[in-house]
Amino acid sequence: MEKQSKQTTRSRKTLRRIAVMTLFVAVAAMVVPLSGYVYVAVAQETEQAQTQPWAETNPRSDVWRQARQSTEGRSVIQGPGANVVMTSSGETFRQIRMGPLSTYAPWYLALMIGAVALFFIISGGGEKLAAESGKRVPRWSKFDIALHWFVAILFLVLAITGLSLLFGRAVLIPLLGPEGFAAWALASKNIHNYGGAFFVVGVVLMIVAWTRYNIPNGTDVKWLLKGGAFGKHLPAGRMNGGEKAWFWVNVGAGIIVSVTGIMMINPQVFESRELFQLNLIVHAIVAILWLGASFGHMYMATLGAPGSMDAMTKGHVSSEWAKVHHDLWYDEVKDQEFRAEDETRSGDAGRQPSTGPA
Amino acid sequence: MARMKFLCDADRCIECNGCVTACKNANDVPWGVNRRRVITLNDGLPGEKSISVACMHCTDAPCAAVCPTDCFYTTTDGIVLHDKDLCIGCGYCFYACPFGAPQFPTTQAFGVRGKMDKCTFCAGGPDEPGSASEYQKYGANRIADGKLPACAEMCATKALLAGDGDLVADIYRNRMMSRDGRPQTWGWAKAYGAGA
Repeated sequence: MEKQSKQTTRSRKTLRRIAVMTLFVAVAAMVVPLSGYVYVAVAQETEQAQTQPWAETNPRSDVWRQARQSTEGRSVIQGPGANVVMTSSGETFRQIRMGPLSTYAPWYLALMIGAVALFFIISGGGEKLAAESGKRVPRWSKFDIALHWFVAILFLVLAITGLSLLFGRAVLIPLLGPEGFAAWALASKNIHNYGGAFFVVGVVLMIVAWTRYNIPNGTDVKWLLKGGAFGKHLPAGRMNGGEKAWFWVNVGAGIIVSVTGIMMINPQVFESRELFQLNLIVHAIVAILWLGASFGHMYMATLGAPGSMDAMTKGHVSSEWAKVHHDLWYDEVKDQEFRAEDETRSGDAGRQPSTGPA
Repeated sequence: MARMKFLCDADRCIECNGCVTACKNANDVPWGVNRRRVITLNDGLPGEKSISVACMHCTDAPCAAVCPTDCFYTTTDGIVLHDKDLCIGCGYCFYACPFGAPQFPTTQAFGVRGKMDKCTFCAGGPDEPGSASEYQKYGANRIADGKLPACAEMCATKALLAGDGDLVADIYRNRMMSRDGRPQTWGWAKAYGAGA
């Protein structure tokens, strides 16, 4: 009995010894080959130290390496980049302009039109307002209206000419022929360059004139978060959250597009080729994003909220429209309310949009 | 068909700007426009080298890719030319070109760019070869006369080579094989040690 247990202890000891040995061999088998790395590292260091005197570069290759790396030299010919043999940034510019920009911009614009159309179909257009009582409240001054249409018309003209220059080669040359399109492209370029200067003035005036109406507040945040843009009528002041968001889109995009545009039509002042390449890409991307966003604004002004157009054509809106869309503002301007017949241009003011009986 | 190429041997160029002058003379290039220019790297330092640059007549030309009116075309000789009747002077080709080859006369109001002008490899343009309108718009058409570009023909040290790419490469290879100085073969120093 005792002997047997002694034997068992011994065999257990042997087993343990075998296990330890096996583990040792296994670990060693894994670790030892790694020493190769150490050997290679040491060997490389030695080799590097040995090759130091040979590390001189080929002077002929150095010249062409400098040329390839856009090293500035000296040239008697003056001009932007005239003292540089080669630059690579133009190829990046080309890849972006002819690649993602030309590919995704049309999809984005089509998607925005589709989204607006889908929204119109689902929502069935703007809500029908209560029958108009003929009472109206003033909303925009004649200056505001003039400014709005000045900027809006230029916006569309610049969009059409700008898109012609970007996509005309693919879309318009097959339609107009090379000579016909060249004439249109030349006109587009000149209209875009000179029209852009007036557009910048309009954008700056808009920022100066309308920022005071568009300071965001808590009401706007609630309006946006609770889905005011999707037909729910929530409390809103003179401008609701959506209108303020659109205004700030105009400010941001307007500044970026104006600044890049001014730099591009003055290549004598802003000579750097890299700057122009960047400007052209940024200008196109921001302008196209802006154009897509403007489809939403156009929809809201026409089909999305019937009666809105009066604000920018006549300068005043029906009290019913004001109560529904801008209740807080209506409370403020209630005392300025007047009857449409009181207006000197009564014939014009009396004609109501198709939202209800005149 | 020949594939026309320029090659500037930087070891021979002495920055005389003869190519620039020859080009301006042959093509009657207007003020402010230089189809070719010479750039000196490391000017005034030991080992300074000059390189003459113009349109390199790329196979996949970036200028042609970005042109809004698609006015560029490549001849059967591999020369990149453009149609000034279609050019609108937008300047995109200048910004896409790695060599700064496209040039613009600024004779209009507000410094607006005129129609682009660039090296034609002395091959004129799309107009009737040798016609007055071709000369007026694009300069000489020496290729039609069986001649090579004026810049390369004028080069005093024969640094600037122009013509069929195969012949140009042969000439340059022969020069490199017999040229003095340390062999520039890659791996030479590794195999034989520095200074060998």
